Amino acid sequence: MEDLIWKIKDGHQASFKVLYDQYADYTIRVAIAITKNSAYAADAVQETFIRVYNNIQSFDDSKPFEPWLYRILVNECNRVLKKQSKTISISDYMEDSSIMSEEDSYEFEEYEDLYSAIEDLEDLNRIPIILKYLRGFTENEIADILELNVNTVKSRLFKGREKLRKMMERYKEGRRQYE
Amino acid sequence: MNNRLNKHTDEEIKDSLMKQTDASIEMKNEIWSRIEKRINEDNENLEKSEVTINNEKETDKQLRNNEEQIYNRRARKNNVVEEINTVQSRSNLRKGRINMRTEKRNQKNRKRMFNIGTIAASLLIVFLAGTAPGHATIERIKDFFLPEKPIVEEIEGMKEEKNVQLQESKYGYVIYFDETVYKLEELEGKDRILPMNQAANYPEVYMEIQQVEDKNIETSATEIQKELKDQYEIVMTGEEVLEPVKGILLYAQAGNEWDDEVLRYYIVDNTQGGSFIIKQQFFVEASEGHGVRFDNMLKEFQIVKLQE
Repeated sequence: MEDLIWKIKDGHQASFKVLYDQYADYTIRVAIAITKNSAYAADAVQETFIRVYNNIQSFDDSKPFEPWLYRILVNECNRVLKKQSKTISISDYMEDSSIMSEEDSYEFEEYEDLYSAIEDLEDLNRIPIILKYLRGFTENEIADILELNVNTVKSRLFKGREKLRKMMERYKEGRRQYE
Repeated sequence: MNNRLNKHTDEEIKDSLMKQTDASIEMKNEIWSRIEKRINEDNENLEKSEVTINNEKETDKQLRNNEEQIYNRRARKNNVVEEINTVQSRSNLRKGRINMRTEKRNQKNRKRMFNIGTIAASLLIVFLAGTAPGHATIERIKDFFLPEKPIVEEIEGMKEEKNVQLQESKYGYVIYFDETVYKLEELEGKDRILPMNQAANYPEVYMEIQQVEDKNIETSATEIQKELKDQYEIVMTGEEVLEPVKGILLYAQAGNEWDDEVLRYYIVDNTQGGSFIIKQQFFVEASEGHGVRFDNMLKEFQIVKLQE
């Protein structure tokens, strides 16, 4: 990995492609899960790798690369989402509002599967869950990526997981009633 | 039993996330094409700006050569004048002719002296533009600041080439900015630089510059830092900086939401025992936009002495 970084620092563009191939799959997955939208995810991943390429000289190679990469990725995802939230159309808003009202009435039916439940978690819990379960980061690594205290990460993961577990139980129960 | 349930939940979460993000494989090549295109475009832009810089360097080199030639000619001319004076004392008959020749050379000399003066003043400005703020008489030096110049600015990773225009303030400084994007408003005792089009529903964005003649930088910084601590949730400890200007940097933020207010101050020594207070106000998400542009403007900030 260090060699690869050194080559990129030397301006070797082909090595950057190797790095992209190595990390693209999971960065795209994480971006899709965070942004809940493939087009936004593509924008976030594109900007992330361009930032990596432009700022690789400032990367301290005595530190692990992946937390640095994912810190940029999470920031880019948030940036894309913030940009989109400013241009949200009235129809999108109406659609979201209707979902919310149905959610109140039919509870578990909204959670068609576990992924929907994850999507419905608050960002505080959702992003640590995505980083842990999708990419397999440790709690310390997540703390590093999100620039949080490790105990905060532990607490958010625990709460997120508990919420998911309850949602899944309700979902399964609901399915049984309909069967 | 509980552990087994937990493990089962963990696996389900992981499987669900993996399954629902499988589109990544199809998107991978398309994203790479976009990245490659952007990098190539950036490289081309960089090459273009390097060519511009090289051309500017070449012009500088030519100017230096001209300057040397002027000095050499001046030295030669002085020798000629001395020689003429000697000849003058020896022969009154040749006086008229010599006077004529001297007058012609004096005319040339005046012209050359003007060139030397211009270059010397430019050098003075270059010297003043270093880390230490300096003084110059605005009426005398304003001719030496280019009224407009091209710059390359990097905003959110994208390089932008643009022209910036000279702004001369009555408060004793000059600065450059892009007049198609920003404007300068004179308020009571200070200037405010703000976007031409301030977007509705967005927090206010501006940079204010004022000179406080009776407070040195330490006093000004202490007072502002106290105000910030009283008003803002996140306040950074003041620190000395050399970029974009030499001075004390103070920073405060109302929170971490996209629209939370950000305040950034640079307190600069006015070299007369007072200080310049430069206040930038924007919001979290504008940090990489207006925040960077304001700092870039300050790289061209020059203190000038106002004529009495």
